[in-house]
Amino acid sequence: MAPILEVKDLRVRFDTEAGPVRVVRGVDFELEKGKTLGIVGESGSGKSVTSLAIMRLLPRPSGVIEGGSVSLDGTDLTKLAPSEMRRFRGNRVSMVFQEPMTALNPVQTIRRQLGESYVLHHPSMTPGDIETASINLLEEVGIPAPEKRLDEYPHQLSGGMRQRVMIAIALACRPDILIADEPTTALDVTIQAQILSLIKRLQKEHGMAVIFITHDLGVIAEVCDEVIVMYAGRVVERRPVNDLFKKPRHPYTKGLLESIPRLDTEPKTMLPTIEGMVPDFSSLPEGCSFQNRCPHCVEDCKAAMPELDRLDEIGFSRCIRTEELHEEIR
Amino acid sequence: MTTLPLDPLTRKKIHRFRSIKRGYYSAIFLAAAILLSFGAELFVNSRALIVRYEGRFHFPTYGSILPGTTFGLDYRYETKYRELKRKFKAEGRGNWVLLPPAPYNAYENDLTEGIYPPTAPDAGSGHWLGTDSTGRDVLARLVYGFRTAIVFSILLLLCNYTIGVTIGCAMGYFGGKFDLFFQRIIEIWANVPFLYIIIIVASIMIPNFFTLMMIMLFFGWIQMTWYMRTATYKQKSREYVLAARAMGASDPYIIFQHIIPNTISIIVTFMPFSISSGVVVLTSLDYLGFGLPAPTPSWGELLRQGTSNLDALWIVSSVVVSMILLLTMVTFVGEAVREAFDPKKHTVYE
Repeated sequence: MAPILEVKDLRVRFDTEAGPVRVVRGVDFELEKGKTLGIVGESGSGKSVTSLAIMRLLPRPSGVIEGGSVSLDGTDLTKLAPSEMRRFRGNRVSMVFQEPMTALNPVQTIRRQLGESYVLHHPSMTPGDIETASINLLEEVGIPAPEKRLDEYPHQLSGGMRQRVMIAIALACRPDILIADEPTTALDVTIQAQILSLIKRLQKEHGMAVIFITHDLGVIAEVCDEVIVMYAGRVVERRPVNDLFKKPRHPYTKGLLESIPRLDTEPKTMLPTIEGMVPDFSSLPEGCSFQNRCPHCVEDCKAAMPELDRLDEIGFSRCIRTEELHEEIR
Repeated sequence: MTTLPLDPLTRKKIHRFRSIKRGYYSAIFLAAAILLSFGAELFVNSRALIVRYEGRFHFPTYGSILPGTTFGLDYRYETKYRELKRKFKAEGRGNWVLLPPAPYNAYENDLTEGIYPPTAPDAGSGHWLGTDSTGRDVLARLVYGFRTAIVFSILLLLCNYTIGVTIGCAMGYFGGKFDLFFQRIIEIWANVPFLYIIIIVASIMIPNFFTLMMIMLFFGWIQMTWYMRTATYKQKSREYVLAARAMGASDPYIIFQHIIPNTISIIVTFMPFSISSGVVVLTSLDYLGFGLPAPTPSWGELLRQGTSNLDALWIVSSVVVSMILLLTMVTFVGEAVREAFDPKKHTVYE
């Protein structure tokens, strides 16, 4: 099956006062219809910027897409005029944000904000049509008494409810792709589980592709088919979800997985962590970006940036020692 | 009666506004005064309200003038209703005239031989607040002057805010070079001395209502841009703006549908203070003689007469008292609005 979204060598630069900073340095992935791709990484690894670049929502004027292509169903989104891009946003690609508390306009009713996507993308719909569609949407995302909720304001809803409303808004135009940027980070654990299963259910019903951005590996294991791990603006490993959790290939992925508390670790012992910090983008070392934190670093790592090598049918890893470490790691 | 579909927050704000008594009553009083001033012809006018003549009723207040011949008088210019009233009374033939409570308009000079204006307040003659130095009724000039000033301020406010809010929002929303450019433009603009421009304009032409408004608008829009600029910067960084963009909304759509409704409290809070400053500016210009042309009733002109005729204390006291009342009440309203919109006041811990 042909992928619905194809991102090739996507590069993003921010022009700051201290000079240009390259925060996304060549990201490639494909996404098939009905599949879920997880993007994981620490804060500052470029995962959110990647998603914003796909939507062409980088902060203006500092954020620039330097190169690469994002093709949705054959259309290169990076080359569209702003007005054409607006027709894609919310219509073919939509987004759910992290903070349901601030992502809804506090002074407008739910009715207005739900109807907005119809007003923007289906101007021929009558207010009656919009109302019916909005009620259906709210029902679909599991909000009880939707007729009553329509005339309420965001502050009258709980966090979980607001996130459901956000999802309803994102789904209004039946998009091909839903980008969920840490949709459950601001919610408590029980609500998280509800929202995740809601997204999974809706994905199955509508057959949309989902990009799931998170730093929570538990969430990734729960919902994704394939995972890309990002570090310092690059993809360091890309694998189907089960393989990744069973046998991480890149030392960074391994470190990430080890730093999750497990049921079988000795209680009251130190949790393994990855020492150090994500390096500053303006002073990335020559060679592998992970060299200063990597326990397996050798002289060769400092020479050149390793390629994203194909491991087998489906996986990729960006490490020169992948093969030799394969036996060592787990 | 159906209640307006108001959201609870707005209802709370209204409730809070009403609970601030002096602001609330000032608002009612001012609203009533403004509404009544639009019907000022019914209360303060030289034309009669009702004339009954030979079995027929005439209502001369609005509409074209009724010549004296209508009522069997020997002149073709506008009927002098006060004289007509005395005449009908003397004749005693069942004809009568009902005059407004203050039977003078703002332009006529009520002169009697041997008496030199200004004349002191006198209920018998109908000059409730006396006459000014050319025999015009002070009350009439006060009332019509109030109407001019308040209409002027409200119109000026609307124009100022439309321009100021639009430019301020655009500055905050687009930011970057656009913002920088307009900031510098405004800084230069704000340093042009306002009074000199007025004096220069007034020296080459007689300013009328609209030229005065244009000149004030020329400088008045600046104030609002600063507030709106910062407010927009604040709102722009909130996630719902990004969410709206992610839904495919265009820039104007976001500005008008999302940002301005969120900054409405700033706009509303500044309104009463802008109104009072509009009144003050117009009055001071009139006082200095650069305002509206000569016979137009205005508070500034009354104030000037009053200060140069301090022996006729009724002129200066009536205008000063009215001015103080108006400005204090507008300030009370402004204060109450600001309190009502203060988000910190809505949270009550019980």
